[in-house]
Formats: sequence, structure tokens, C-alpha cells
Amino acid sequence: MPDKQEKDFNQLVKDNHASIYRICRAYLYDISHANDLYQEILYQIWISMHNFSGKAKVSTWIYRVAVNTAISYNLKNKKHDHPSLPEEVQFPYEDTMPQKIEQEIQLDHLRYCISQLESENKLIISLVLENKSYKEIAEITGTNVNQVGVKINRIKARLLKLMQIRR
Amino acid sequence: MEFEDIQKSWQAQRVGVQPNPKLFEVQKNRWARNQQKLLKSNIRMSLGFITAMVAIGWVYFTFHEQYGMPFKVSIACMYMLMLLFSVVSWRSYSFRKVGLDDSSQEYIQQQIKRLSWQKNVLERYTFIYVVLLWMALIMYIWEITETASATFRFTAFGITTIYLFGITLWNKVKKQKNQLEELNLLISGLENIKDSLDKA
Repeated sequence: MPDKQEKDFNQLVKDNHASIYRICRAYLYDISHANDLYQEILYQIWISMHNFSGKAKVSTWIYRVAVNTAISYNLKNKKHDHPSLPEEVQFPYEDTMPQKIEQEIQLDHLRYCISQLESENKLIISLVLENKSYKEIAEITGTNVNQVGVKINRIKARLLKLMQIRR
Repeated sequence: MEFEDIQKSWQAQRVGVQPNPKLFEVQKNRWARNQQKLLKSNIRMSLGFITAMVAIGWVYFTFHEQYGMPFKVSIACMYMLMLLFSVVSWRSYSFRKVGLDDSSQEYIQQQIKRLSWQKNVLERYTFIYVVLLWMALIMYIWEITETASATFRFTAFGITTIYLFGITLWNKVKKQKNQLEELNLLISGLENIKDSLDKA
């Protein structure tokens, strides 16, 4: 890869790696699998850079690559689907990890609740959590803006409900 | 709890991983090697294809007056075999250009098409390929055993048929069944995601 492309790639990673990582964490509950997915997305971004035509916004393009890679990754690795864990394992921090700080506990709880959503809803909520507009999410997923709006409201409501139930 | 609070806390989370330059270098090298391998194999395949077409054409024009209809059918079957092989190869190759930067709906649609094509190759084209190969061989045996006894000729037909269809059947039972199950699983998984994205 020529130097310019290498530089562009490094800049893209620098600007977006936190968002990409959070998408992985939302999509895959297990941190080691999320890390694998994160590396895979970076690799796919690097490959796709060769074909980037500039038609879409760079951020839309990156999220598309990330979301599509996540879809493929999960299909190829069905074992990464996470069924509900036994009750005592669901809340390990209650007794076994009291030293965890409050924010981390809440985040763990949130990640667990997200993991209870359907695969495609996990992806959509991960984009909402990244503050993407309905229009951008519709562009990334290829759906109608109104449909996305309705869907997001439902997912948000379900997530909030899950958060309350599990508390 | 408000959703905005969740959002803020989500975005404030510590990013516990950094790009792994070593792993990335390995992946990049692997990709470059694969691209080279792909290019070489395409060149080899095209050259082989042209050579075989020329050789079969030469055989036909040199001997077609000495032999009868089975010879011509055998040559025609070989040409069709090569044509089929070429269509399947190029179509499969076209699916390698994965559009990861398409919207998810388009990407999923493309993946469903690719997997359905693989299913078709397994279910339909492999069978057509075997039948054409069988016909080419039978016609060839017919010609070369013209002066032999009927028992010899039909034994040769029998052995060829049992061998070819036996292997095909064994392959179908042992390998294809699992491959098809896996493909069906992937297709239905993708269709579920697609349907769910379509619905509000």
C-alpha cells in the first residue's frame, strides 16, 4: 500500500477506533470475541479502502463495513451467540466482584441487556448509542428512515425495560 | 433511567483494545499473498482452458472423418463440460468481490445470492457436469471398443458408470449433505436478518 493510503488508514483508525470497538462490544458480549471482531473490522476497512469511491460519507462507509463485517462474523461463528446465562452467572458483580466501580457495573449490565436483543437490533442500537441520526442509520442499514425511527423507538423501549427488570 | 444517560455512559466507556500491528501485518501479508495466488490461478486456468479447447479442436478436425457420431458427441460433450466449468468458475469469482461498503440490505442480498449460487452448484451443476462427463466417456469407449466383443464393451460401460455415479453418490451422501445443511442455515440466518431489517 502506498504511503498516502497507509497514512489515510491510520488516520481513519485513529478517528474511529473507539466507535468501532464499542460496536463490537455491543454486538458480542464476550470481550475476547469482540476483540477478534474489532481486528477483523480494521482489516476489512483496510481491504475496502482500495474500492472506496467517495460516494458515501467516510463515516457512513466505515459503519457500513463495520456492521456488515459483524453480520458475517456472527454468521460464520454461530458459537458466539450468547444464550441467557444462569441467573447466578448473570450478575456476577453482585457478590463476587464488589470492588468494581459503579460505572463499570452499569456498563456490564448494559452490555448484558444489549446481548439479550436480537442480532440486528444489537447492531441498530449500537449505532444509536454512537449518536448516529435516523438518516445515517437508514443509509448504513439500507432501510427507510421512518421504519428505522419506529424500530429504534421499540428497541430503546425494550432495552430500558430490560435494564429495569434486571436491576 | 433515561436513554440519554445510557448513551452518555456507553460513550464514556474505556476502550480496552488497541489495533494489533503485528496481527494486522500478518493479515495484510496474507491478503497480498491471496491476491497473487488468485491472479496466478486465473491466468493458469485461462491458459489451460485455451490449450484444451485448441487440443480438442485439433483432435476433432484430424480424426472426424475416421470416426462416427459417438466421436462427435464425445467432443461436443467435452466442449460443453469446459463451457460449464468456465461459467461456474467466473460466476463464483464474481462473488469474491464482496461489497462490504454497501448498505446492510444490499450486502445481505448479495450474500444470499452468493450462497444460493453455491447451493445451485452443489445441487444442479455438479450433476450436469457428471452426466456430461459420463456421456463423453461412454461415447469414447463406444468408439474404441468397436472391434471388441459385446461383453467387453458393456463391462467397460458398467465399470465406468458405477465408478462415476458411485463416487458422485458417495460424495452426495458424505459431503454434500453437510455442506447443503450449512448453506441452508446461513441463508435462513441472513433472510431472518433481512426480514427483520425490512420490518418497522
